[in-house]
Amino acid sequence: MMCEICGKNATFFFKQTKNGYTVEKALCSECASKKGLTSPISLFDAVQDDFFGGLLGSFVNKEPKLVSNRHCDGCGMTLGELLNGGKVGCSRCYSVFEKALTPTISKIHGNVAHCGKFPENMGEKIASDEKNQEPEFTENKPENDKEKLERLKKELNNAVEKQEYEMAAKLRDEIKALEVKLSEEKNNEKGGENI
Amino acid sequence: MKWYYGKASSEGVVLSSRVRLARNLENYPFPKKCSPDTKKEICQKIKNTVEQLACERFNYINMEDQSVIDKNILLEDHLVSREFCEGDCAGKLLITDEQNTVSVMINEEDHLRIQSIMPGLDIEGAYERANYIDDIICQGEKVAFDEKLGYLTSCPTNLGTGMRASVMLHLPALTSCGQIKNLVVLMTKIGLTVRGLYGEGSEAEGCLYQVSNQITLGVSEKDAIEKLTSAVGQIVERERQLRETLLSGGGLDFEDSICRSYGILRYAKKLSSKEFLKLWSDVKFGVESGVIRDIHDINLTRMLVEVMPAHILAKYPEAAQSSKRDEKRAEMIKNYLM
Repeated sequence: MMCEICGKNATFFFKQTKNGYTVEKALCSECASKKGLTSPISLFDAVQDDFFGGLLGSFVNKEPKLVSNRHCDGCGMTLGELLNGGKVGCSRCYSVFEKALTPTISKIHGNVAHCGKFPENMGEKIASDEKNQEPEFTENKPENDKEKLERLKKELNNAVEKQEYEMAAKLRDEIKALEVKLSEEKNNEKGGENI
Repeated sequence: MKWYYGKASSEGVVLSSRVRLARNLENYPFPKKCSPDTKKEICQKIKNTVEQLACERFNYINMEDQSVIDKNILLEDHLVSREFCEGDCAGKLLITDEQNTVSVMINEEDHLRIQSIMPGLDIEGAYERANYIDDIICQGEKVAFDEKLGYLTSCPTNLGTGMRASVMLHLPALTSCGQIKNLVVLMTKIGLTVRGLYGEGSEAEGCLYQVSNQITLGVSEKDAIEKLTSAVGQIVERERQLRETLLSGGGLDFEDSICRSYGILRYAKKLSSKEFLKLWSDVKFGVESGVIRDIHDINLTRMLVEVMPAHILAKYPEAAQSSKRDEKRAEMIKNYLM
């Protein structure tokens, strides 16, 4: 098995079962010690580190400390995943996680904007955007709760298939909350009809 | 014709120039978040576009069907990255032109990694070739792009132009004079990176290094290429000066060590990759500085690539064990040099 951080041979395996889901991490000894995962004392230091915040929070806090519940609606990428892997999941991530990414991008490249090549078909796009003051974003139209529920269920299946249990747990909670909300709305509507 | 067949690849300090462009399609998640089926769909889409719009013939290599040896040959030829060969290869497609000057990796870290490699110092030539392919793909596909962030890539380090230009250099004099550390510091200051081609930093085997641009956002392709070309020009100049100093100051001892390496390379019965790389570097240095005079018209860069493990295995399937490969390597080198 490979280390999840650097890809070397993993020698350190971390396993935790929570709410019926098991989270497993495989790391090489170097990365494990960097994260302070070799001794129980430094474990608390690791909690300060956002990389493992979501995972290790439960050791010190009764309520698990999650990096953020936020995830990209384009690809399902979570902020924790992004901080851990350093790579985005789709082009939408750049706007969804703009706040988290901007300092990183500035650190790498400086506080600058793109100059250089534009894709050929971009010229037309920009020109048409200028013509239409309000460009249509058909793909970005907000989804209603029912559509969201369907999407989340699909994502949950995918996450379980890929054994991404952290993600699955979050999705399951979201689905539950949404189902409660929908059934409440339904009850309210019924109530209205009775009157 | 592979890049290392070209004479320009073996005639001096610069072996090759490479440019790669990272691109993604607009309406798909990046490969890391794609299912195998979506990856295959992307491969097919890009293949269709290239087939429809390009005026030349391309080869389409499905990485899933490639043996380990075939993948490693592509890797040793610098046509693909290590990441592209490793792990699950389902939904990974390689497109190459007939001359092998350009390769397009589909579903590596980004949907598209368009790469061109040219012999010698020709970053501009490599860019033109890669850019031509990029234009073809852009005509048929909507590419993920943001006016401020440029081409959107999986890793924020590639945002902007998505262009990484790199030059492969042979720097025996700078290495033996302990100047690589200084070079690394200096290059970092001007936004360039120095890496060992085989092994990191100052321990680079074969004194082979790769210098590339670090920053891709806020710098145009033209400026990045000019900067790299000018920096490489200065490195080459410094390397040449130091070679002369070594040659005039080192005297017989210097010539002796070069000739010993040549002797071993020529007559050894077994050579590991590591030992070969050291000897190869000495001999290349010896030929270029005029110490070794009986090697003519031998493409040492071609020899370098063709005695790498996967190339040997493809030619001699029986050389599966590394000790057997070491024998074959020595044999092949002897044939080159005799």
